[in-house]
Amino acid sequence: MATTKRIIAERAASQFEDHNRDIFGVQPGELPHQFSNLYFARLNALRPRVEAAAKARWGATALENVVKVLDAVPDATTVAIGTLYREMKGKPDIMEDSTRDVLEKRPAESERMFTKYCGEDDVLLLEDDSGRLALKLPEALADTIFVTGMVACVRGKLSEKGELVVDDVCLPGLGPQRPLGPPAASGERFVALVSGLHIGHRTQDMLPVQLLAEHLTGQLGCDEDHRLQSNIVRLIIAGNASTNPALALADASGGEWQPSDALKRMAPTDQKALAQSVRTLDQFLTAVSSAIPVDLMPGSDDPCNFLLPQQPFHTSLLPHSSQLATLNLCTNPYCCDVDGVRIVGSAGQPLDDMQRYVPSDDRLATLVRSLEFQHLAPTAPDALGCYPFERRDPFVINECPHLYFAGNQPRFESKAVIGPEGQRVRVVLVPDFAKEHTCVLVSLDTLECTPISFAGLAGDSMVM
Amino acid sequence: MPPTFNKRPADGGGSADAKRPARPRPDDDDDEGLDADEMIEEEEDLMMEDGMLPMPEEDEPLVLLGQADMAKFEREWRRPPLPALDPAVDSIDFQQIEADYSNVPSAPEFARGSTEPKEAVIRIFGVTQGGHSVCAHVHGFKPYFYVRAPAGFTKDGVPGFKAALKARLKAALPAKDGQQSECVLHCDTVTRQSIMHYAFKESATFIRIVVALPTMVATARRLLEQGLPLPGIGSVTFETFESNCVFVMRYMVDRSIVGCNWLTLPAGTWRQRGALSGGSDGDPGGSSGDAPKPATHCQLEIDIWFADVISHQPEGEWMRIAPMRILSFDIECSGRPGIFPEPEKDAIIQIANHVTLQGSTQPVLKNIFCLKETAPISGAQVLAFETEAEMLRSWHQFVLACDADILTGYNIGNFDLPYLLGRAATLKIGSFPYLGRVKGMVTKVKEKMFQSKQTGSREMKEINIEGRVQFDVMTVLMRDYKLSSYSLNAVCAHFLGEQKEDVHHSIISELQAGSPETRRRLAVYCLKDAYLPQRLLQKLMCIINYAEMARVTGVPLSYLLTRGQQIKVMSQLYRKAKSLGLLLPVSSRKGAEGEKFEGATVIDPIKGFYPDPIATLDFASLYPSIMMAHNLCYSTLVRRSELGKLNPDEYGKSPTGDCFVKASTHKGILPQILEELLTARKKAKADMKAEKAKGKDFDPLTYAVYDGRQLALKISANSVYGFTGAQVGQLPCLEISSTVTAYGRQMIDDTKAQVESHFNRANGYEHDAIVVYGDTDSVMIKFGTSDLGTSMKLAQEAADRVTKTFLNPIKLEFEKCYHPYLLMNKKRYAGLLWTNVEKYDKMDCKGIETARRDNCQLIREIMDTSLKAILIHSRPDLAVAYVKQQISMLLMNEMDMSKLVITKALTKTSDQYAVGNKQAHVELAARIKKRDTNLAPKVGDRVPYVMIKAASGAKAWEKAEDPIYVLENNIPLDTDWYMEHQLQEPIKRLFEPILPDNLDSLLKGDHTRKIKKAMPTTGGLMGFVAVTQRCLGCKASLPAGAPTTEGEAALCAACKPNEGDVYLAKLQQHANCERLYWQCFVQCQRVTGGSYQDIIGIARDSPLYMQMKKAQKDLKEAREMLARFGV
Repeated sequence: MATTKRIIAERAASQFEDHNRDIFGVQPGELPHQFSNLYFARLNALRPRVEAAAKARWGATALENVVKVLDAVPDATTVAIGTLYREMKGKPDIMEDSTRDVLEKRPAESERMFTKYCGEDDVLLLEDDSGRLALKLPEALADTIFVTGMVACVRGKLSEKGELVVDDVCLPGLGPQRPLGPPAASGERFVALVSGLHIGHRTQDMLPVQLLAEHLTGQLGCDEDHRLQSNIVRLIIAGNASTNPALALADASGGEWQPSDALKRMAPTDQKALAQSVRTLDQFLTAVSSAIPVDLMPGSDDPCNFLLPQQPFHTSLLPHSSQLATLNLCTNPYCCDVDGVRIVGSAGQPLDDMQRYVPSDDRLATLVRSLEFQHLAPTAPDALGCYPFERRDPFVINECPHLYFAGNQPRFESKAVIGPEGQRVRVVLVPDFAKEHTCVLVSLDTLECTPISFAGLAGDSMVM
Repeated sequence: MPPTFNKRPADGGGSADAKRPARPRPDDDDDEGLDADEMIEEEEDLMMEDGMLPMPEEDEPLVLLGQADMAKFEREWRRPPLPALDPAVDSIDFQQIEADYSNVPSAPEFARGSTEPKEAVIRIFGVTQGGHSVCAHVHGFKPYFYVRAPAGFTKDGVPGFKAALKARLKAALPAKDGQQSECVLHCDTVTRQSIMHYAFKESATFIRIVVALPTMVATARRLLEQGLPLPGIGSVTFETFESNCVFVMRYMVDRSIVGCNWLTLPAGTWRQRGALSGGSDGDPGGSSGDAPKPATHCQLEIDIWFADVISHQPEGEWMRIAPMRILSFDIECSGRPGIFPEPEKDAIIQIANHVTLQGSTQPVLKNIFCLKETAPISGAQVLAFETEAEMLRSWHQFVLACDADILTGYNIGNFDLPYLLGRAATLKIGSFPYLGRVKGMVTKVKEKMFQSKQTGSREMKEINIEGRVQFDVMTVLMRDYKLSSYSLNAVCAHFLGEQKEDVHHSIISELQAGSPETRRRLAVYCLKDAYLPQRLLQKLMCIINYAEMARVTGVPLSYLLTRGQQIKVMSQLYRKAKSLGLLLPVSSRKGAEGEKFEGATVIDPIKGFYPDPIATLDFASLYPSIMMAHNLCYSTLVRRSELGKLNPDEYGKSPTGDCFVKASTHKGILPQILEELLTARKKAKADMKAEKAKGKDFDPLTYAVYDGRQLALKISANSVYGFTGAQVGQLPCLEISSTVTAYGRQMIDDTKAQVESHFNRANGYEHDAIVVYGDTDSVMIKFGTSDLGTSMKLAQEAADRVTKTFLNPIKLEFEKCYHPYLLMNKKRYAGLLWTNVEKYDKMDCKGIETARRDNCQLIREIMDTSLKAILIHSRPDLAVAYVKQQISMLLMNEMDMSKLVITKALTKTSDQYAVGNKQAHVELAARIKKRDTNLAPKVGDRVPYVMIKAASGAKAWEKAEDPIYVLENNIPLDTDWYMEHQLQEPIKRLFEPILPDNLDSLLKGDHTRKIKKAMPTTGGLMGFVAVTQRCLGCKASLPAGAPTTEGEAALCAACKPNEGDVYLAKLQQHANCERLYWQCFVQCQRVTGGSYQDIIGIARDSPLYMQMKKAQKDLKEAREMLARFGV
């Protein structure tokens, strides 16, 4: 006769260090300035790293004659360091709002994610403070991902036509990484990543969100499940937890012009719907964060500022959950250490934008590439809105993370990257939960990664 | 060349447009609109003192900063070296681009019997296919003109006449010309006809008078018109003929040379002048020892007898365009704060140059002359100098060495060139002002006023640079295009689709004072400014189109930019008249100002919105074809007194009562010219088609030449009518022009009657056709059917039917249908234009505020968007919603201010306007000048302004204000004024056919009830106001003693529980500000063209500048507001 023994699973504890506000916080006085300062700051930060990488690759003497791009002379081997710039005919006029036929149907917001700017006749240029120089890439580099804003060291010869015929391009590569600590004795620990909950979306099936909440709070599954669940030390919500009804509605109306469009102001009904969505989010967060520490990042649809880095949710929007010490309101992008594991990521806007610059649809490869640039959002401010920082570029990745993610992606994808100096990085595309009903668990010990789907009904279809 | 400027008739004035007598509008809107006030041609003597002023000594050698070698540069600047030529075997082909003449001592070899101490030698400048510059000195052509011989005058009277004229002329000439031994070289009698009035095939006797020098023509003419005592007859006053034809024109007409055509100097007829500076490294002597020294900087200099020059008509291989060297340049000056640079005080710091060959897109040369060391620029030569004088001297050397055929740039004629010359004078660089090809000719600046209907009034500077054509892109654009602003920035945005940087003078000085790198920054900017005019020339194909215009009309290229429209028609008349033995009188008729005649007809529009197709029938080239059909000409006009001499079937009586003989009796010269022009146009169009059909052999350049030609032919054909109607013209004949319009009116009315009487139910058609509107040369017909195809078929039938009833070559054509069609008023309509049944071609709007430039952008946008909604999207409801929303935005102070800016051209300064006639933009310009001279608009500029709230009863001119000033000081705009004066009328007009019953709801509905005004930061009562914080939720004043900590200061106690909702709303606003801020600045950064460059120059007249300023301000305010909620 078996006796039912009640197992009490204790949530595993973890060391948590929050770098968000230090790195991504915007001080009230920091505006307004022009964007050229940001490019300077970026070049200054990455120049020593790219130099070191180039020396390692081309030999110690390779950098003895680095020139400004406009000083390049024909026939001599030229080495120059600067920012790459991809000239694309397809890049939209940034002021499109003022020139567009306002009655023309606009592409749905959800499709804009897949818009491409790049084309056949794009020109890659290298720019420093002297000017710009067109690059002619060798066949071997033809398919390599280069986007505007990357700092690179370029070697080649200037042709008669005044373009630099490149033989090699050197990027900063993966930065130094702190070693991981030993596995915890208490068993394997995990962080959970989720994005795009879109709580309060009128047309949305709330069941998967419900299941997610119950799963995380240990109200679902058998003992075995509970043991695993109790080892999830932290939930990171990577943006778009709430719903912007105006955007949803614009998509629903087929992109037709609305009187409220030009006002750039929400119609009162949308305003109410958004407020309602935020209230529902508050309830959800209250429930979840009373069981597990939660990091809440804002995303493109959340009631938050527009320019990156997006600042944390204001406490007045989440009056109840923000009272809990376990709810951590974060910035987007995000940077924290959990038990010594450096976790860096964004709600997806930088990756979506980079993806518009490259022909390939391999989002994972682009994300890995951005690690090699040591930059979270190279295309900002070119086509991605960001603050005009004056003295620093917060998007530079100073220390190679162990876990690097981008939220609100079309599909779950993941890859382990091993760096030349033994750096180990888990790179993850966190899917949009409202569409994929999937959350991702990453082991803090092994950096192994597991998706959990809440697509079907409870229990049986749950995969772990 | 003697320049001609239009002199304003006594009463004329830009403001008098409305009062101007109704002048018929020639043909459709693509005619050239002849100026009524063009001045009569007069030979003006601009000859240099004496051909041979010595060129000042070369200054000491130039020293370049850095390692560069001046001599090496100079070698690179030159044209390809000239191969050795043998006059006995080689003939020389070249395309002439410019011609003038000079009075020089006669060359014995070319005297051929003349004993005059000086003769007028024509200089023809040109380029060979190999890119070598040529100057041909053409000897032996003499100026002449005609007078009508008095009755009974015979051959025998000639010697007496000659002697009398000679005596008088000698006395009247200035001393230096009086030395000419024989001023009247030759007189003889000829048999000719005057072009004026039908002459009944009778010829008259004329005396041809050949004089020694061109300048004597005008004097002789004056004497003859005043009266000349003839032996045995007494004092006779003479009517002169063709005495106003300028000398070079005369030569070109007589030798069948047209502008920009190819000439051949056959082997054995020419003599090369001594070696040129260009070939100095080759053989030094030239061939013959006795050949005179070169007088110009051209590579090849030739002497030749005038009759030996062979002229080729621009056909076949002679159609091509030689690789002319085009130099585009731009200067930068240092400035002092608040003062526009003055050549007496402010230095030139950089001169950027781009040299290209016509027909190629890549520059052959790119360089920049800089003051002080400047960091190198890839792809461009950088020449740096320690002193400005050295820089200017070396630039002068560059101009001579590169030997450009065409000088271009933006506003070079009124700024860059005069400034360079002024600066050289200040620095006392004696060698500088010799920029032309003729050695020893000083380049001078003359101030002129240029007035024409096309460009309005402008202060102009006239600069003589012999042998090079000045092709100022700004002048070209002002002549050929109507734009709201002619700043280089606006023009580039319009034609090239890109904004350009505009560096303010104050920043220029800073950059110059900085390091070699900052000077390079400036140099890159300056180079771009030199490059843009070149791109514009290419894009708009100016050179090709102007060359074709010169060929078609026969005038030299430079005339097209410096002279009015009439010379072009005159040139054609002279040519045609010569071939027919006709002479042109010198018009003494200054067409009386009061003389009015009726313009074109307009059939009253039946206003409304037509969802069914409306077919449009057009008369092709209406006025030219009327002139051809009815044989209207000077030479066919019958004097009323002489009507009795004709059979009634020999002439036609026009609706105005004027009579012209029929073509069968005597074919007019104007109809002949027109026929030739239109035939040539048909051919050019056929050639275009043939060229296109060539497939892979298609040559875009040839195609462009044909296209330029057909355009030039069309414009020329249309301008003939205007020429006859010009009131102060060379040869006005109002009988012709009023007859033309009268026939035009009759034809329109006829067409209407025919269409309506035939296409009706009575004749078995499904519906009754109605002409809903008709204007000048077109009628709009509603056939009643809703099917586009049927409508087109009926329209074609109607066109054919009506054409049959008119004289050949008048043709009514069916080209397009409007479907749907919105007819608002006379000359105001819009519709989707269809030429086939599959897809509409475009949305066509006439006379609607989408195009008018003295309206603000807002109304243009509203009209454009509304029309799109109605016509394209078929959603009038959307249009209504859109208009309401825009009005609401305006009233709520949410409109982007750049959309409310109005620009007007400043034609005179305020003190030139009559007292009491104050105009907004003029007063504003004066006010800005008081604030900052630097920013003050100059005469000719367009002044941007917005209307601001002022005390009630303030005049409009008191309300105009500089938009940037308004933005910076938060001055509230007068939205009521915009509603009343800008929006109301156009919106009413547009929506009247759509909302006939409910029009008021658009302008006075609920959406107009909410108003918001900006709070000014300066002036008025603001100094006395204490600012209190208001609750962001309900706008209640917060108690003065309320806690000032952030987070407490945002809301009143009542709103506090809803903090989240209030915050959400404000957040949204903040996010929008952020987005706009980022967009503006990134856009500016893109304009700047480099990510590392600070944005320093965005033109103040660019909408971007205003948006940038506004975004900056708005975001700051939004952030401050958000901060009140605390972090």
